[in-house]
Amino acid sequence: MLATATTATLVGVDGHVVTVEVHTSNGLPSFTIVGLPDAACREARDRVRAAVLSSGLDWPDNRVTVNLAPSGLRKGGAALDVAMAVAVLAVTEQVPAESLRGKAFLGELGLDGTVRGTAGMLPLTAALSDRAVVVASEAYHVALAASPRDVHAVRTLSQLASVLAGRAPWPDPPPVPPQPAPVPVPDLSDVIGQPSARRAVEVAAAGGHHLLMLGPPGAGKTMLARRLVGLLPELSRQCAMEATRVQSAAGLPLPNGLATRPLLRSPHHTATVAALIGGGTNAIRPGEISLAHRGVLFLDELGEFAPSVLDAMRQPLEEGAVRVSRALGTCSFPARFLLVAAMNPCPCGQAGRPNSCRCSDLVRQRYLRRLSGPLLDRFDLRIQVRPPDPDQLLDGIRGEPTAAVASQVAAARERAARRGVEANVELTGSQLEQFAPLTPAAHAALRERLRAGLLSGRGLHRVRCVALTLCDLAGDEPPIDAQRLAEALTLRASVGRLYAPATAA
Amino acid sequence: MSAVGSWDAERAELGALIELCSLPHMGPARLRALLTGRDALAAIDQLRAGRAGVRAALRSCRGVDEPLIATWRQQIASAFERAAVSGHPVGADLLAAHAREGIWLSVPALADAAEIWESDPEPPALLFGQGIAVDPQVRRVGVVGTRRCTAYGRTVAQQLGSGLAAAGVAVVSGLATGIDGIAQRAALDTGGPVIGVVGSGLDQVYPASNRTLWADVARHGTLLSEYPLGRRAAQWQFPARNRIVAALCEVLVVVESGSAGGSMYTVDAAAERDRPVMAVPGPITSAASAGTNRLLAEGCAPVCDVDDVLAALGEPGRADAPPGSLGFPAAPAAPLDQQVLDELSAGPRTLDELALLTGTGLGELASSLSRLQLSGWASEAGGWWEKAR
Repeated sequence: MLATATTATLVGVDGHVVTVEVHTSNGLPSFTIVGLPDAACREARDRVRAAVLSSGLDWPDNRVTVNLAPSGLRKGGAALDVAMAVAVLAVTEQVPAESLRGKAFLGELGLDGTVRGTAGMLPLTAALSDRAVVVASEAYHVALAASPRDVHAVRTLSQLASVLAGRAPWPDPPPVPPQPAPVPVPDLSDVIGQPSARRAVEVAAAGGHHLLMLGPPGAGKTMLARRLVGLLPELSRQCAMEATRVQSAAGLPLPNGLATRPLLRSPHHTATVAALIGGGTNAIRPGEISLAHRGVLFLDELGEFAPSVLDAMRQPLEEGAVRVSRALGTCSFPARFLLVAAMNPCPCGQAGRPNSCRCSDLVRQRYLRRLSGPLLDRFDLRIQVRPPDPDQLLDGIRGEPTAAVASQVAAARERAARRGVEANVELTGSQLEQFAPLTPAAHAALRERLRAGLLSGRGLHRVRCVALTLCDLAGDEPPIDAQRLAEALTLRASVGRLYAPATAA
Repeated sequence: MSAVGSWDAERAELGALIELCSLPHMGPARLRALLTGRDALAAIDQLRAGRAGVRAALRSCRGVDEPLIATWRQQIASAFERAAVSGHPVGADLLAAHAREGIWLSVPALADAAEIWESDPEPPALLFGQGIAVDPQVRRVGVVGTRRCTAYGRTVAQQLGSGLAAAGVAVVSGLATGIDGIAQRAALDTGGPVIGVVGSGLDQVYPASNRTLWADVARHGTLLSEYPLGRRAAQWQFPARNRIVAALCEVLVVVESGSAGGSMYTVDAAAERDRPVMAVPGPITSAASAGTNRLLAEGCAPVCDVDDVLAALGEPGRADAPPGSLGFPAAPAAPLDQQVLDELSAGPRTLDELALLTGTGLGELASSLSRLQLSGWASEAGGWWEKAR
């Protein structure tokens, strides 16, 4: 006797269709799973058998073999449990075999027959988009986000068996979860007395420019990073799908289905290459750079990260994606994120103030040498963040709130979209020539800086890009005037030439 | 030191001297103790034999104990063994090694510039040099200062260096980071004579960031050291180096110095040798000018112009230069630029501080700073803006 059911397994952040074939034959009662299952998948033996029996259904008292096709593909996780169970029910004729046709089953089984959701529901459902997908109630909204042909939610195996046997209709889908009270977004108006940091955060959000903040602990670097996320616009459907795919595959909670807000990821500086870039022993999992896809990756204490970890980030930063190759196989993860980094310029806290900083040049250089030039070069915005003056804190005038700035950011992003990119940071050199012309005065100022050795050819391109974002934020049309250019230069290089290879040393 | 007769005798004496110089932990004071009343050949023989007279002379120096003398005797014994095997006099191998590197040796008491050392309380026993020999006919001015200089100090050091070089005056300095190196570099770039005195062997570049400057001084000027090849930089060797700077210069100018900097050692050494000391006034709020302002308060002559230094030397001033200035650029025109400069006068500021103090937007402020930077009025390092004039 033979029956088949369709399901899917996760490889990286992509679902792959798997056909579960169940065969029963005469012999001593046994239950074997073949077809490269991993540990969690092999343990399905015990879960499936217990779930079928607890649901008041019969377990075949002969030899049961489950094959997971294609056999060459490694199957991981517990999402195949339900498909195995229904195929067993079909082979024992407890449900009609035809009822499984055109359907796919995703879910983990509890010993009592409960159907549970697993990590990766979105990519798994997406892989099965040509059929009706049966999922656990709790995973219904995530699965729905993948817009398959049809989604049915079930709570238990017995409920599913009744539906398949034609004894009951599909249960009603679970209600849309009440929108959680909006998490109070940290507001930009809390930033007092730090005009350049505030400005840099706005520009980073508008143009997608990577931001490096130098400042002593307690200067508000983390606070600024949190406010940056609040400034970013809602994700477009396409972007939200990409981001949710990764988050779902990594098993992050997705109560509302699609993740429409950009995510802030802030890994600790002890993170390994595998944690940041992706990898793992049992399965290739996306790293922090992919979890921050279309969001913000905040690396606090950048100087404390292992240099090898930071340098591994360079290529994904350039390409917006990363290919991770392991013995298990090769996976491609999206990794288009806004990098925000913070570090302390020196140990004394005076942050290099001439005449006050007591750190020797050697100490400072040793600290900064951990960052490679090519990585530093990726930062279009490099600013000093100093703790605000106490007087400013007490009676400082609050700046524009997040809501006001966010609308400027959204408008700037719209202008970028008209240029055919998500944000200005993606513009190429030739596109900049076209979209960011310079006034004669700005042109002259740039030439003078290049002559004086204060700017390199590589830096020129990035400065122009930031200046274009400044124009977009103000709602001005190019050409870019000298003042915008000067501001872009200041935001890029105010960290100093010692740390900024873009300005010639 | 006895008169040197034949060439061979001179070589033998030099060999013994360089062998003594190369002993570990051998410094100027110890060498002097060793060579008082005996020449190098006699000293090395007596030390090798462990004579009581030499030992007593050495024991009178601070930090010399019997184990150190034992180490030295061992070292000398092995030098004699090497000499016996090769058949050359003691120290011949060291002399050859220095000659291979293009290093000349100068026994100050016998050299052309002997008058410089005649009345010196602590003359070096032997100087290692690269480049041009010191010409006593060329006027010499020491330009020294802190390693952690401000933008103001940098500008002054540059202008003094190039101004002195243009007047054909040699700039004597310590080739350190900061004021010393900047003044030397400016003098070199103007094509003037320079004398750099270093505190380590001539092959041991310190600080490593000055490697190019070091090589340029050796090529176009004079690079001097009291230490043989291979001697690493050590803290005590720098004050000793400073006394040579003080001795070599006719006028010492301190550009910027904290109240307890190494430059103050040079000042003391210069005062001891009756060399006039001049100081560049700085803002009283700047820690880097605390030492120089103190010197001025104590009666040092102020340096407001290269001509002040030239006058102290008894040289004519520059006829073509505008009077009383180190050559200021045109005053900033925009009112905001002036306002920014006023704020910077009180000390270094960050961009944020300037924005809050002047109450202007970042865009305007950035263009103002950019103008000031390009016209040389302000400079920026590590996110801090400073007034450069």
